[in-house]
Order: sequence, then structure tokens, then C-alpha cells
Amino acid sequence: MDKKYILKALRPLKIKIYLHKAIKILLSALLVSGFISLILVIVSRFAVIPFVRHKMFMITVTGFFMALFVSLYFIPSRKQLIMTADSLGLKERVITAWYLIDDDSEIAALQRQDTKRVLENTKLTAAYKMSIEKSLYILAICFITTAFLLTFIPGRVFNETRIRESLIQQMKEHEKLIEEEINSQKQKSPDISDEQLSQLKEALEKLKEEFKKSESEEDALKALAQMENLIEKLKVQDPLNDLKTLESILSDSPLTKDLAEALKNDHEEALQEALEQLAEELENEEKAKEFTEMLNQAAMNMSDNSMLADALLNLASTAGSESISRNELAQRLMEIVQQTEENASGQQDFKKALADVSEALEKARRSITAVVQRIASNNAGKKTGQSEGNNGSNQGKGGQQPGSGRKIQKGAGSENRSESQGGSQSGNESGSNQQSAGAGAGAGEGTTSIDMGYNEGDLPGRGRAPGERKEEEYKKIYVPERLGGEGDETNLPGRKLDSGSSTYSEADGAPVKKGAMVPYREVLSKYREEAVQTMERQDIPIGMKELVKSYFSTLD
Amino acid sequence: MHNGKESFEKVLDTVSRIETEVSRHMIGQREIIRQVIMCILAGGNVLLEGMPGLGKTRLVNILGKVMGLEFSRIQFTPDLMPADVTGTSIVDRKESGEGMFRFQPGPIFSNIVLADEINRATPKTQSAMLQAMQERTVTVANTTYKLPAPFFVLATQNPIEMEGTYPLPEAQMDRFLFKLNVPSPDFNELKEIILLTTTNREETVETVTNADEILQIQRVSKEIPIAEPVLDYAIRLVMATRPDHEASPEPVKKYVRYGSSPRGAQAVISTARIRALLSGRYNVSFEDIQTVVYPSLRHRIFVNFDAVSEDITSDMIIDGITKDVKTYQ
Repeated sequence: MDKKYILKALRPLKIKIYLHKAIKILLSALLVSGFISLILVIVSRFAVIPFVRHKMFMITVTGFFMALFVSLYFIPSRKQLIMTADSLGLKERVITAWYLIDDDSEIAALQRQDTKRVLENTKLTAAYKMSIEKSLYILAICFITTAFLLTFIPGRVFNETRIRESLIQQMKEHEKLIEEEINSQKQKSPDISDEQLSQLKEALEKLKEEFKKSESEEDALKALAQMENLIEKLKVQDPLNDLKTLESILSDSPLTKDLAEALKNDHEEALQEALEQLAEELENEEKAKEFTEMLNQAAMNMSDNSMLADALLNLASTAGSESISRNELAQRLMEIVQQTEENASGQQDFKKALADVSEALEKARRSITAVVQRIASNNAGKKTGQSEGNNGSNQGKGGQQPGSGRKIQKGAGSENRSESQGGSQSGNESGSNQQSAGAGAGAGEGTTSIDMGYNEGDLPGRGRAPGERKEEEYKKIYVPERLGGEGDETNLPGRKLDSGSSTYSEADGAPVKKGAMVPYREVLSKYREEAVQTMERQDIPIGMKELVKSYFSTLD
Repeated sequence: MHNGKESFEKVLDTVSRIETEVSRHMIGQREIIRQVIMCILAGGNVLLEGMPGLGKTRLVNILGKVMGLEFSRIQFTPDLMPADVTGTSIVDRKESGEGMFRFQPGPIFSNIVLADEINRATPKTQSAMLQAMQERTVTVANTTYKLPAPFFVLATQNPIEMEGTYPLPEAQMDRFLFKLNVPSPDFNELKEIILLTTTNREETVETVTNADEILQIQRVSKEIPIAEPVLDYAIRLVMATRPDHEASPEPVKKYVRYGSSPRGAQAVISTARIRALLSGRYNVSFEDIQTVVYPSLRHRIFVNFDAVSEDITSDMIIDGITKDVKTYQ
């Protein structure tokens, strides 16, 4: 008998010990995961935590794999294995045999024989009991089950959570669609340069980053608007025009006249010669300085966001730092020009690609807005139905007491409106019936600030006929010019009902298009001037004038 | 001596037969019998503490017969002199009238000596006895006489009658390998004892071994291997009895005046080996150590006044130590 024999004989026991430990660790992990999940679910009832069930699942799976990983550290060592075997009735035979393995004495041989005999006759795996505390796994199951069931019971922030979840789903979906759109552009339009494509990808990466940070619909729309702005910037680029500007500036100087001519004629040999000549000329420091200034001037005369302008400015600064040889400088100019020519040749395709991406962005914007509106109107519809039903019954009692007012927060979708109207009618019908029996004290008052003035139903005795309503379209609430920006006007769709209630939607994402967000410093002086002029024109109390002045001085 | 497999097996067989035969004639006291046998086979002396009439003398008598050894009994009294134990030189006068001193061996010259109520003798007599126990020799009139081998002393003392007694000093207590507390028999055991001893039934004690075999067992037992972790455990247990040892449990520090000497560790290991042999094993187990640690150390742990006033015994201290000290470190 040798050490190998001992270890081989103990292998089944080793596996069982490991399994026992692994199960214990797994159960502990399950317990911890369950506890964390439960806490998460409880918190999610008061704070918006999207995809709680998914998070629960991830916590449990992570716990499971961590437990598996940790359990690897608990593979029983030889010492532990031998100790356990001895404690299972072997009475330190194994450890003694292990120590006497190289002992040739008669007694050592006898001891090994005795150990071998006992090892053969003892079923160690049967003797080893895998005791697991019942309370451990009962508690783990309780935690997980409770947490899971709690996710089905709506909490205080149930609706907000749903909106956030839909928003995240929409963001992910459209992120993918936009990415696919960008990736497919190379196949659709092979003339698009790699640089142009990388510009699109950069914009996409930025969008992804912004989407990740987005916590609300507004943030998501902002992110989309930012990308739209980037796309707009790319659209206004015109490499051909920039090249012409460069040619014109270069042709003004005798130093680069030949180069300008070669560029104009697109004559490669002439261009090469001109560049070689320029390189020689640039050895003169004065001329090199003049050339750098020329590059700066050309860049300044180009359109905003011009890639050529950026490249020329970069080249000019490199030339100024003298870390580049004159030949290299000329060569770099050549490369820039060639790249710009390449961009110019693919400009048409690029613009088409930009339009496609813009379209994808627009779809994303619409989807995100629609999802939020749909959920909001769903909730409002339910609330309106409930509320109007209540109102009806209150009217029934209205012989004695005025109908309680309604306050409808949201609701714009056509589907929801019909649902809410249905509820409203049935409520009103019952209310009307009751009114005929007693003196109705009027229908509810409009209580939202917007609805003030539309409470015609509050005249005593004037019961409201079912379905009768007064509707008025809301006015435009966002005129970009007022903020000095450009972009689409945003309407606030909705209706005002004669009962004083209203359905409307929030103008989500309105002031986020280009120009919508203007730093106040840019408009402050203009607004102050307007305020001062207005105060001079009109009769306003001096105290109020002072108030307005102090307001603007505070902003300063 | 060549200790082949057969000789080991023969030893195991002999040990088993001794235990069986002694147990056949002694009712109850199984653990005491086993521990006395263990102590004898380990070559040590036993201090039996218990009330009179619990069969201590009978046990020694039967052991002597079963083992084929010579047996003698000394009743210790305050007027017992050392010479009464060791023997003395007397004048042997021949027919011619010529006289010469001849050594007359005392009762100690026997294989098994029962020193009954050893604490009733004066310290001087106790010393003579304990010197013989330790050195296995007796010196009379400048002549040293070797005691027969094997030699064991089974001393008894009464735990309740303290008046007119001379308690054994700590140093002398240390010379006993084991101190055993002999319990009173239970109902069934007492019934059997009465039936066995108050009838005319003659009992025939079979001699299953002899002095040579006992000596061989002593030699063989010393070869029983002990794994290093088991040995370490035994040493840690013994060291834990010392109040000045940093790893000692709190009760030891609080209640123990002196802990065990190295002789205590020797006693634990040597008797654990015998226990392994009695169990038919060729190695010492933790269980062996945990079993022998009580009789080996209880008379080597000297508790302080606090312990006495709180009825804390050395066995309780050992309980605490065995719980505190881990088998593997």
C-alpha cells in the first residue's frame, strides 16, 4: 500500500465531501441572493428600478456562479480528507499509515495491512452524512419566492417603472437599428470614405453613451437630439467647396501658386512637382512661416465643422512646432488634399447615408415619445374612468352636497380617451338619475390650473347632460424663435371638456432640438433690454420696475 | 527480539484473553479492569481511590492469578515500618553456632503488590514503598536487591477518612501511572456480586499468561506507532494543564496550581499504546489519548483553593482541556 492507494481509496469520499461543501456554499449564495433580491424588490416599490425580475434573475445567477467559483477553493485537501476518513471510524489508521508509508519495520507493515483491510471493508461514502441545515434552504426559498411574488404587486412607482422599462427597451432597440443602418451604409454606398463612416460611428458611440446615462424620456430625447445635431453638422460639410477655398488662398501667394494651379487642374505630376518645389521653398524660415499663416487663413475661411479646416489647422500647428521636416509637411498636405478629394467624391453618398441615419433617429424619437405617451395615457384613462365614475356617484348624492371636483393629470391617446369617456358616461348617467330625484348641486369644478374658467357645470341646478362637452384646442406652447433657436414648433395636443376636466399630453422633449436650449447669457442682455423698453412704454409701478431690474441683476 | 506478525497477533490474543478472564470473575468495573490491565501492561503503578469493599483486593488477586504472577498484600497502618515493607536482615545462626546476617525479603518482593490504604502509613514508610516503585530495587543494609519483573504496585486510598492519614505528597503521586476512581456497583452488579460471593460455588481462575509473556507485551506495546498529529495532540493536552502556558484554557489558569509533569505525557502515550493494542489496532488514535488522559493526569493536576471551594475537580479541568484543545492544529 502506498500513498496513491490511500488517495485512490479515499477519492469517492473526497467527491462527497466536496459536493457537501459545494451544496452548502450554493445554498448560502442562494440565501444571500434571495435576501438581496428581496431588498431590491422592496426598494423597487418606492424607487424606480427597471427590470427588477431580470435583475433578480441576474443576482441569483451571479450568486450561483460565484458559489461555484468559491467552492473550487473548498476542494478538500489531503489533510482534510484523511482527517475526515479517520473520523468516520478509521481511528487514525489512515493518518498513521500515511506517516509510516516509508517505514520498513514489521509493525509499520502490519499497520498498513490493517489500514488497507479497514479501508476495503468500510463504506466511507455511506458513513459520511451530508447534513445540511434545513433552515438554510427554507429561508433561501422563502426570500426568493417572496421577492418574486412581490414583483407582481404594483407598488407606489409601478407606472414610472413601466415607463422606464419601455424607454430602455426602446433605446436599446433603436440603438441597434441605428447601428445596423450605419453598418449597412458601406454596402449601400461604396463611395463613402472610411473617414466619413467613422464619423458616423463616433456619433453612434456618443449616442450609446448618452443612452446609458439616460434616466428619463427627456434624457433619451436629448441624446437623440444631440446625435441629430451632429448629423446636421456633417450634412453642412462641403469638401469640394473647402478645396476651392484652399485653392483660392494658395493661388494668392507666389509661394503656392503652382500648387494651386496643379490642384485646380487635378494634374498629378504637376502636383508632385509643385509639392517638391514647395518643400524646397519651405526650407526658408520666412516662407515656412508664411505658409503656416496661409494654412490658418484657409482654415478660417472654410465652413464650420469642416474636416479639411481641422486638418489644416492641425498641420499648421505641427509646422509651427518644427517637429516635422519640410518634405513631410508638403507630403502631409498632399495626403490631406487627397483625403478631402476622396470625401468630396463620396459626399453625395454620405449625404444620403446621413439622411438614412436621420430617418432612423427620427423613428427612434417618435417611438420613445409614443411609448411614454401610451403608458401615460393608459394610466390617465384608467384614472379618468375611475374618477368620473366617482364623480357620477357624487352627483347622485349631489342633492345634498356639491359634486367633488376632478383632477385628471394625464391622458391623450385616442384609445384611452374612449375608455375614459365610457367610464365618464356611465358615471354621469347614474349621476343624472340621482339629480332628477334631488336638487343637483352642480357637476364638479375644474380644479387643475389649466381648467380654471371652464367650470360651467357649477351652476346650481344645471345638471350636465351625458356626453355634452365643450372642447377647445390648446395653443402652441413652444415657439423656438422666442428662445433664439431653430427647430420645429411643438404643439400641446389635448382637449378641454365642458365639465372642467381635460385630457392632454405633456410636451415631452420639446425644447431639446437644435437651438432650443440656449445658454441664458446669450439672451439675457436682449431680454433685459426688452424689459427695460417695455417698462418705459407702459405705466408700471416704480416698485415693480425695481423688482424687474433686481431680477435681471440677480441673473448677472 | 523479532516481532513478526505472529508475535504481534499472539500479543493481541493474550491481552484479549487476560481482559476476558479477569472480567469473568469481577462483576462490573469493566472500565476499571481495563485501565488496571492497561497500566500493568504499560509497566506502571496504579493508585486506586474508592470506598472499602469495592473489590480492589479481589481485583488484584484475580489479576495475579490470571497473569500467573506472584501476589502480595500490605495493609498500611501508621505503625508500619519501612522494613515491614522492604524486608530486613536477620541473624541466621547455624548449628555450629556461627551466625550471619541473612536478608529476609518483605512483601514488596512480589510481582503484584497491593498497598492497601497507603495514605495511612507514615511518610517514611510511604517513601520506602515509593522508592521501590520507582527504581524497582530495594536497598537494605547497603545491599541493593532487585525486585522481580514484572513489578506492579496497586495502591489504594480511602477518599473520605482523612483523620490520621498522611496524604501522599505531589512528587510521590506523580509516580503512579494511573489514578483510578473506583465507582460503587449498580443494582444489577451488586446482585451478581452477592450471588457469586455468598454461595458455595467454587470459582476457578484460569491462568492465561505468565511473567515472560507480560514482559513481551510490554516490549511490543512500545512499538505501536503513533502518528505525529496524534502525538502532538497528546503533548498539547498535557501542556494545556499548565496554568503558565499561554494556550491553556481559562479554567486552567483560574483553578490550577501546578500542571502535569513530562511524566504525565509519558503516561498518556504509553497507556494509549496499550489501549490501541487492547482494541486490536496497530496505531494510536485520538480516542485512545482522550480516554487515557483522565487517569493519567487527574493526580498530576493540582487545583488551587478557589477550585476546592467551588468543588472544581481535576477531572472537570481535564474535561475543559479536551474540549478546548483541537485534535488537528
